[in-house]
Amino acid sequence: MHPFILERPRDMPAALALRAQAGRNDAPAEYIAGGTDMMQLLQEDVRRPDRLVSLAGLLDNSIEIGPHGLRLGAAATMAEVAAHQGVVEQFSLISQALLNSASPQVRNQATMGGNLLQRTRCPYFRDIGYEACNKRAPGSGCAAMDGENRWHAVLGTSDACIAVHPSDLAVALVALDAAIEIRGADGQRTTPLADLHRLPGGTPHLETVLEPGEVITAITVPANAAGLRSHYLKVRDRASFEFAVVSAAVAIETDGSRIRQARVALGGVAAKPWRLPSVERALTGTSLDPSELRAAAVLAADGARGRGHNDFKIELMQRAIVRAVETAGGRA
Amino acid sequence: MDGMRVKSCLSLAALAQGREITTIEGLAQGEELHPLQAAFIERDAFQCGYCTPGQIMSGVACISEGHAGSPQEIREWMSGNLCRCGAYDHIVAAIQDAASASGSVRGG
Repeated sequence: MHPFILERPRDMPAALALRAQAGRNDAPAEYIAGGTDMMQLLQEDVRRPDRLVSLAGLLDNSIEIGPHGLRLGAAATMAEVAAHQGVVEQFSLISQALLNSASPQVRNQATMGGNLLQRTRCPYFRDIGYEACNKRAPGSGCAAMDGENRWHAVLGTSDACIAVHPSDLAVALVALDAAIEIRGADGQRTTPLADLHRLPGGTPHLETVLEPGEVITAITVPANAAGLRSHYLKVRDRASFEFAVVSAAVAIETDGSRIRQARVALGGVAAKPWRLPSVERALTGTSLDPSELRAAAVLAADGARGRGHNDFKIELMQRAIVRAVETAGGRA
Repeated sequence: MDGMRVKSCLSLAALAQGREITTIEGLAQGEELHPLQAAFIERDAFQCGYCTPGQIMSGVACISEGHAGSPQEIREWMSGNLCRCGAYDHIVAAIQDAASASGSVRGG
């Protein structure tokens, strides 16, 4: 591990000032909150910051539900949010996604903000023994392209990178139209969570729209996402404590046996949570009949491209959508 | 840490300053083993022993959180602790024993 100085600023302005000197990635200074991802990256020498700026005690960790919907402080832990009575009752999709994530120990430590900003599990990114990784070392190539790419992306990829964003939480939140509050040296701003993560294009090392030094301070979910029938389906290689091969977050409103509105997002298939408006439109007004659901889910494959080992994901994600909608609707 | 199970390998000691920490060494009362430690011996719930401190600390939390109601529930809530020897059946049995001995599966 690269030696670093741990800074414990007494307030956010001090933290922002300490971090402001740093660049976007592979910077001389990095924030640390729950630390469950950062510690792994430090131990594997993937990140080599000279300073770690601790956000412990500086960020809001409250969970509030009101007329405007749900607000999650960025420092609320995965365990706190997953077990919150109001979240369980009104925003079940979020609780489901969290309880399918990581392990109880990690969920006690990891925070909302850190979960959204965790780095990809691409083994070539996380092993510095491989030289070629455009995300870790821009311009060095991509070892996954012709390597073991069973876990990799099939949507929104580029020839520079096929890494997947590993969060379950983010997939559920994007399906529910969540937004994030961001604080930086120049003040505060709000952006849809769906806009946080960038697709790789030619610059896969630029993963989010956060400017250097900016911090996610809260997540908000609008009230109209409350009370929907939902299901988070996570397909993975073992029953628990594993990242998704493919996941589907579905929330629907039904009118008898008809779907009145649907929200669908996929995980495990792209560098960001993949919302599917075309599938949602096709589902609107249909019944829960499997053949009708299948006809809508096919649209998810629009533009999908496998790289060999991950070709199976294109079919699997369509089936995951069908199963998740059936389950949300009470048919499976 | 502060009564919750966490991973020491993902925690910076400097950020644990002022927090209350319990490790496997602090579980027994003098010569008297914690009920889950005794259950691990009774049920032969380890082989090489490498994962055992983590299994027991996590198991104590699993019981106190109220997540030891069935073998299936125990398996899910103990999934963060891997045992390469494959002693899982005995680990689950030991946790069930200790949970029922504590008198409240949903205990605090």
